[in-house]
Amino acid sequence: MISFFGNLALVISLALALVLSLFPIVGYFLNNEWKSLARPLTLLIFIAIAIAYILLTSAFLNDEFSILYVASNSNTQLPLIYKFTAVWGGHEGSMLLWVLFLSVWSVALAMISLRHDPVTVSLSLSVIGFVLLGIIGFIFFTSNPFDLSPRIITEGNDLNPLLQDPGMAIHPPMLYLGYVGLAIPFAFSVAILIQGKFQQQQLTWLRPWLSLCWAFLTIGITLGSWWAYYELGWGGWWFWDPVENASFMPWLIATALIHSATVTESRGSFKSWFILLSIIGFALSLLGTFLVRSGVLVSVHAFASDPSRGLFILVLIGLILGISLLLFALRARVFTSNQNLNLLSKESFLLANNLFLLVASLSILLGTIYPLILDGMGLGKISVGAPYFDLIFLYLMIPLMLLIGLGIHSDWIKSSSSKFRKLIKVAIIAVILPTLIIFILDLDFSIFTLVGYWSFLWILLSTLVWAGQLFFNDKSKVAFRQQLPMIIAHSGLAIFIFGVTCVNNYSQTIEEVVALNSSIEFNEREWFFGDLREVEGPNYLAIEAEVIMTDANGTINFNPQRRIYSNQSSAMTEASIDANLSRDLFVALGDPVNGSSEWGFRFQYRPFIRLIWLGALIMAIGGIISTIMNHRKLRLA
Amino acid sequence: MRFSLILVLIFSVNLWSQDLIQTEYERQLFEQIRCLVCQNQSLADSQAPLAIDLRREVRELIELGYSEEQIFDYLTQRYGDFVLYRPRFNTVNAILWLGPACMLFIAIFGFIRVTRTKT
Amino acid sequence: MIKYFIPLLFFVLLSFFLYRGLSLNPTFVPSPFIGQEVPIFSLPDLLSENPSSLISNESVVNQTYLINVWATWCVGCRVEHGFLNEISLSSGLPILGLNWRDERNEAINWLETLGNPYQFIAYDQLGEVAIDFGVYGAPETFLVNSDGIIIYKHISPLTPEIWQQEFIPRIIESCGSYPCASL
Repeated sequence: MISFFGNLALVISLALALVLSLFPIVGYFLNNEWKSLARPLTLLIFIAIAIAYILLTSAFLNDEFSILYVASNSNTQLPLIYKFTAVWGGHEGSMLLWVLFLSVWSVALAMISLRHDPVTVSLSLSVIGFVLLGIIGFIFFTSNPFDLSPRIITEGNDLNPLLQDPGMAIHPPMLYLGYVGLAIPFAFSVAILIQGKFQQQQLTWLRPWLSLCWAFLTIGITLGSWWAYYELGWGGWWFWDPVENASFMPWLIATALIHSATVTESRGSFKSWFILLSIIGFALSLLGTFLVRSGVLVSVHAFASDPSRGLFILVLIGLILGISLLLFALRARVFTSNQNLNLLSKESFLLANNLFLLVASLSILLGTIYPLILDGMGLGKISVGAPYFDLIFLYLMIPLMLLIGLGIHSDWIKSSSSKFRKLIKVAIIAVILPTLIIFILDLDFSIFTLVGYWSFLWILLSTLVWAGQLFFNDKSKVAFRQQLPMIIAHSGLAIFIFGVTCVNNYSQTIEEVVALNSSIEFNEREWFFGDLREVEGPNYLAIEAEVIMTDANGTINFNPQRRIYSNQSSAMTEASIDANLSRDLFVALGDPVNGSSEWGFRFQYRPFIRLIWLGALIMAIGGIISTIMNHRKLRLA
Repeated sequence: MRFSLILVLIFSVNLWSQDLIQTEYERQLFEQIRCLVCQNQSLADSQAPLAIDLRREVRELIELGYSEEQIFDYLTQRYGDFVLYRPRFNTVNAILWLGPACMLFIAIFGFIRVTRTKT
Repeated sequence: MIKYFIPLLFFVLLSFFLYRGLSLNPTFVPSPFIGQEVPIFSLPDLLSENPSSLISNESVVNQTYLINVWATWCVGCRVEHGFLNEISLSSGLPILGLNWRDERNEAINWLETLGNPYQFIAYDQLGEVAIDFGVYGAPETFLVNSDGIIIYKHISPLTPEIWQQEFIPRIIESCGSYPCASL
């Protein structure tokens, strides 16, 4: 029953998407009232997909194992909250979530921005309709969550234990919101190319969309990193796994887009560049979707992979991007302006920002698919892992970090060099202070340690100096308030850099066998292995160790576990973490030695690791504040 | 069910006490090697039986005085370049290593052209 | 102008590689041993009580033969065992078994119950020789020609189809005929 209605909802949304992708565009060319079909169609599509999604969710809540997807990803013992999140735990359901969110964005666009720019927004909705058509088609024909089970199933398979976790509840939705949000600038740009007209004022209504989707992507990636850290039990926060790269590349381009939009809106230049970036951003989103689901790459995230699905997505991507890039090739020259660009102008700094972010993004793309390229040419199989990405990305970011501190102070059209001479004092402090502290505390360091702390302080001080200037030199504080999101976001970036530098250079890890009722010393603290007991969870059985840590500040208890879920055969590790802003202490339980009186443990000390995620969150907050402020400005105008 | 949990753990790894990572050098070395069974983990993190064996082999090589390059050669002779996370610099990988720099130069070149003031 | 077509061209190139990638297997590790000599090894004989009775790469010379990596804990080995028994009789090739990280008595019992297709069995208790062969997942089967060169390696259980498609043509090349007349 659910299956029938679910499929019906999908078919209806498919038909509506077909209409949406055609009629407003045709209406534009024929200049008739079909243009106005965009909004109602968008709403109807949303209703149809939402119905499908609700039906799937209810199937999970009711343990409807006659539906194969439910049986594969849930079971009767699964806690209720995870039955909600299991809906997107597998490939088919997560694609439905993807398309649901795209529909949500399109409805929001239709409700909020249509009145500001009816023609362009209608065309944009039509473009989104085309994407919806493709993805819903993909779901319906190759990845249908409503497919029935081949035989009667009384108990489901269970959700992957790694996914039974609160972090898992929010990470994919946040990430998808960001990913699919990039469809809006993409659709906008294609609409612009179709019309052959691009006025800089149009970016005024587009910018809140940019900053909002950027904020969601930032939060989504941050949550993923945090979740991997505590759930996978190895203490790492970024692995350059292909799927992580697949989310990071769009993020870099989204960042570039925000900065590029500033230039085009203020100065009217670099229009075709903005259009190109918009297309690339969404292209990387789609590409990321492809990489994760086609079985083309080895990844810790890879969904059940299937080359035939991969082919469908590839053809879909080929159509969507091929057509847009062809449009770009044919039409973009209309937007070139021959404005002079001074080297020390704000436009110049923002363009440089774009270039570094684009090169970084393409370099990550290169590294991610290079094994694929070589293999496809019969040139053997290699791996491209963290050592490559760490190196390349670091070297590309160092010049950018320098430019950020300078660019914040630059003026449009042309900056006076006296402005930058003032910053020399800031630079000197930024370099001397960390170096001094490291020497005084007698810490180990490498050139990268120094560069990290210099970058952190340089960006932070430069941002705060700028904020101070705006605040104290302006009675009405208008400029200060307008730039507040930027100030917050860059401060967040600086904090992020600080966290990364600390973790990369001053972490400590050891692995030891500890006998029951004995203790070891690590990180100038004493760790006592006091007890071992069995713990029963709702759908798992665990062995839990009690480790009591004593140091100058008192005692803290740690309870790392090894868990076996009801239908898994290997034991997972649940690390025990004590966290505060200044450090994380991380204890993971390994395997027993010689019976069960001695156990292997992994202990980790991670200084300031929370600042990595806090810094990123602060960046996202900057993005959200920007969205709210710019949106209010629009509404009042 | 209660007993089986401990049993699974006891029999899953026999050599644990000698298998722990002793030094930072070891850890950094292992982190550059891919586990071929759990292909998403490095040799520093994987608990697969083959990973345990490979760690033992690499430790023996360290004791014998093998340099990092020689250890990597030893591994690639048996498993191919796939086993190393850091791609080697050779003709086949030249584009990989030089690509980012090339892209950067092209970008800088383009940037300079655009910032040349036109009269 | 041409420059506006560059992104499109770049994308077409990318799509081409991604399309190729769909037909590849990303987790498959190709063996660097194809075309190389069999690694030198010397291990105890699984079936012999005598500790100085050894099986080595010298145990089979001037013949085409198979090396099969197996263990009692390996599910795929159980699956292919019946077929191994068959080809040990029908192919004319000696099979050298490499018992990988196994328990001696269990291995012997296993063979007594399920049949022994192996001419020789080397007992690799610690897995060191398996590493020398680049083994990463049992069962694995190597085809060695009469010059002691590994000419093919197959990972995962042997099936009649694989045998037909990949092994028989190469056996005929090395041996001159199938079944091989070397025994």
